[in-house]
Amino acid sequence: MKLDVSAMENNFAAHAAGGEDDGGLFGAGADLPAMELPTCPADFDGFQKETKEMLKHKKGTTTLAFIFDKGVIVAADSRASMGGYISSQTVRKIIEINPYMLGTMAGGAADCQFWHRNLGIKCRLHELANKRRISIAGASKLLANILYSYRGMGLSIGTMIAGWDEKGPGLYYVDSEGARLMGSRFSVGSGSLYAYGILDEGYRFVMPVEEAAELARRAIYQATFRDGASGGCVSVYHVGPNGWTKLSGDDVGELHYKYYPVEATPVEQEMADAPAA
Amino acid sequence: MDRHIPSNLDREPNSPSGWKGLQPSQINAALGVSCIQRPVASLCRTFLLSKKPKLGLKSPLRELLLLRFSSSTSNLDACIRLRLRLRRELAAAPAMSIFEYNGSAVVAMVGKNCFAIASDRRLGVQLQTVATDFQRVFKIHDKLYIGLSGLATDAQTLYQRLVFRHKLYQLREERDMKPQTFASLVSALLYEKRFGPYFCQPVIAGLGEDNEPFICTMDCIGAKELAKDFVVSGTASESLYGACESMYKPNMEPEELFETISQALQSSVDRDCLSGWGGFVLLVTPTEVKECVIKGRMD
Repeated sequence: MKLDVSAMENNFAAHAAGGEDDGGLFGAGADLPAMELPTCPADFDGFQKETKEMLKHKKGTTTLAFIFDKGVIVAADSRASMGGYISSQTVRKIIEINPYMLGTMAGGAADCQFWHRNLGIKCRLHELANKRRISIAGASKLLANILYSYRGMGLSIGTMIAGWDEKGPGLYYVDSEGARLMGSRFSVGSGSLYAYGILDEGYRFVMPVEEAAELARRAIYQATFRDGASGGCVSVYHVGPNGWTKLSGDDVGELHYKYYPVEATPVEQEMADAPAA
Repeated sequence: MDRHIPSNLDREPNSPSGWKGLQPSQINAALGVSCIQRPVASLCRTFLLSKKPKLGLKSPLRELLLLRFSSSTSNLDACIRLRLRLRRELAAAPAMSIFEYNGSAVVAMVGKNCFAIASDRRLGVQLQTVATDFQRVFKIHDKLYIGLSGLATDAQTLYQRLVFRHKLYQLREERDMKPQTFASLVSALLYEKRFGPYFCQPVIAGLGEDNEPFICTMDCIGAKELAKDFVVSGTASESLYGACESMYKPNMEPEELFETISQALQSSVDRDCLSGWGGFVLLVTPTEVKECVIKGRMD
């Protein structure tokens, strides 16, 4: 059963050419407060139920990113789950904020998608106002400040902002508790511990892009194997001086048998005679 | 009635300390509970003052709080604070059923003078996969098998007890048990533990007299459910129902039955986080038994 990965195809094409349509970025009130604070409606029971349903829609996830001498590698799985149920195997968890910056999503799907898009808008506006691209530090701080202002209100986001700016590669971890950490490698999500195991073991600062991509792929794969809430496809991105490129997207169903080929056993099934009735 | 909200509530709305150091009467006033029954008020107080309120999804306390606030719209600030607080508590304590601790999927189907029983191969501890060669389908005799979904330790214990009872039966009666008899035995063993059950949902499949196929499932305390087509159990049971419902046909030949049950199992566990990692299919006809380990997605 092969996955239909058409949903994961890249529709952020022709990025570096700068020919994209930015119309959507100037929608009404781009720099107004993006969301109203919740009010307590008369129908409190209904509201309570609704918010609970919203929180249920959390994703089990494995994402990772690391800096090495040739840029940043970002990788993630593609499963979305609600409790034990797998609601999708083809989620794009690496969000393309602009041609030089990527964000990863872990936690609530809606929260991540909304705030990354919001960050994309703010970054673009910064670019137009200052005639230069925003730094990764600056972008991550924009996000961290927003998330801090919503702290304690139930947002659920664990993200890494990775990209290339004037100072070179940049990588920050930002979460909805308000943390913002700079570092050379991170992994976020329910499968992150498994991914760290592979990543820490195989990481070197100097290595070819292919080897770095394989390390990331392997780390995510091992996490999908051990973690029930991670799976689907492994997407690997590389960010270099000329912006990001998607290096690979592999179905874990096939990747497993590539890493561990099953040698054809002569007799796979056992026959046993049952005694006559 | 005084519904003044103490000022330190405003400053630290979400921290437990915001409620600390308040007189019960102040909290009552903030919640607007002075008019409601004493037990509800004291429960609210206990909840607010405890550092880590234990709040299950079906907590009567929550019901009481909701009841209280559904009728109180006059104190919106307190409502909002408590609502946020409650929401966090609920998010922090996900409901986990002991049946879902290890994860499992078991299915049995009837064909023409034959049956098939299949299971997944995962053993996990919640979301962590520990083994991918776990056996959930057990042989009782050549034409009788049982699949035990649910808690793995109970499945193994139950299997050992069942084998023991079946061996005693064989010694006394000098014959194998009929599937129907065996189902009654399983049911009886399960009901023995009515108030501290084995956390297993068994699936029994066998060929009876005249090679008549028999399948049945039961809940963890032994309520039998007989079926003529297929039975399912485990964490993937909902998607198994869907798959079986659409793929099953009556009177399938052994080859087709094998294909059908394998496909149903695979497509079901692909929608379940807690089961999968390969499958085990067992096809029993009057003359032969075919066991097969099937490959699947390993995520």
